[in-house]
Amino acid sequence: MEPLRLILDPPLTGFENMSRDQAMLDLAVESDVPPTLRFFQWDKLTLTVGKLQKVESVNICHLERYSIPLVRRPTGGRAILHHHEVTFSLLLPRLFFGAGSSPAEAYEKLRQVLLLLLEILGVTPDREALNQPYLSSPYCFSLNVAHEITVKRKKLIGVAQARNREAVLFQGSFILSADRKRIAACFHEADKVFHELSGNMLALEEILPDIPDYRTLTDSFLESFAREWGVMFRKPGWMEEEIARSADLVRTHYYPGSPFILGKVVE
Amino acid sequence: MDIPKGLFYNREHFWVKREDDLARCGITDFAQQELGDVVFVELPKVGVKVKRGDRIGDVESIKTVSNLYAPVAGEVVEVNTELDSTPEFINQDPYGKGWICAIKPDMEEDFSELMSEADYHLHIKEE
Repeated sequence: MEPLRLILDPPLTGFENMSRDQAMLDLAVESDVPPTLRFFQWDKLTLTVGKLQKVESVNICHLERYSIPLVRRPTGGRAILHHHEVTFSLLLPRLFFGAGSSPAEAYEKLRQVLLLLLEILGVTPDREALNQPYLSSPYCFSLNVAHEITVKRKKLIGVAQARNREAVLFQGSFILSADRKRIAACFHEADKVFHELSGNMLALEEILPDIPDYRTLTDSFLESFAREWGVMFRKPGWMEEEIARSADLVRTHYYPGSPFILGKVVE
Repeated sequence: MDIPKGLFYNREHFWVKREDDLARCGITDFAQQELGDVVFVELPKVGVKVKRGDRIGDVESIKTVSNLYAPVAGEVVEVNTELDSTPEFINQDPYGKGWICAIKPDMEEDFSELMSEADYHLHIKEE
């Protein structure tokens, strides 16, 4: 496999973060975007929702009151309040997973990397995939599906996916600490969401007495990719066309209150 | 796996059924099995003009958003709004209640680019 481009972005707005991932995915159809592992951070507490998720369950008044931006992800799944976590995205050509591979097959290949990551960090993950029955909840960590990473049957890393003709984009959140009350307050059914999170969500600080620093965590990711997939990394940075496309997307789709984010998709 | 005769297919696992001057289309049984349980569908807008291969919508299953592409060029004249509330029709009945949209084709030639049932079967085997 060709080396993965490694991008370590500084804290950015949620709008910039999602537009950069969307730009990579879009440009993979038109040009040679290298396979990329990106770590990114948030300039402030931000709520993201899945690409096709309806936002009626989100308490917009609460978000406005506490200046929490609402941003739509290019990937699927349900809402995440991004705070103390390692957030990553991974762009790969579809052929990496084999012609005609399904979303489930792609998830499984990444799952093996993330299981190794936890072992490197001294955490014992559940080896068997946990697939809970469908649950009508707006929050990602309320429910475990087969490809996600759990410890003692609680979700620690959530991953979602988007695919076009040429590429697969994963976005993942590795939870370091969790303020379940603050998360639940972002939804109209706060009590219900809080109850779900109490049963299904886990944070690294609840397992390890001392959480490694951010640099150690990202280095552990690199080690797990290198050992599981045999990949190397290089750091050429963003391409100009990616930055330009991302800036366009911030103007047209990823801005506060945009119809795209509030549920009316614009093309 | 169900691959009905009499329909046209493309490499992106769309089926196309000719109905007078319309091309009704959706995703194949193979595709719905690969995707898993469909939970959201974003449909194209009625009246929009599309080129063959244009992205016309999205489908979400197991937290994965996959693009849908127009199998022929033309104008979208109908969409299956039942999928807004019952996206599982795509899994339960991909060639019936799970249809996605109907396009009034611009060019007859687009159909010659599509595959027969036998060719689609081979295409799946090769993948």
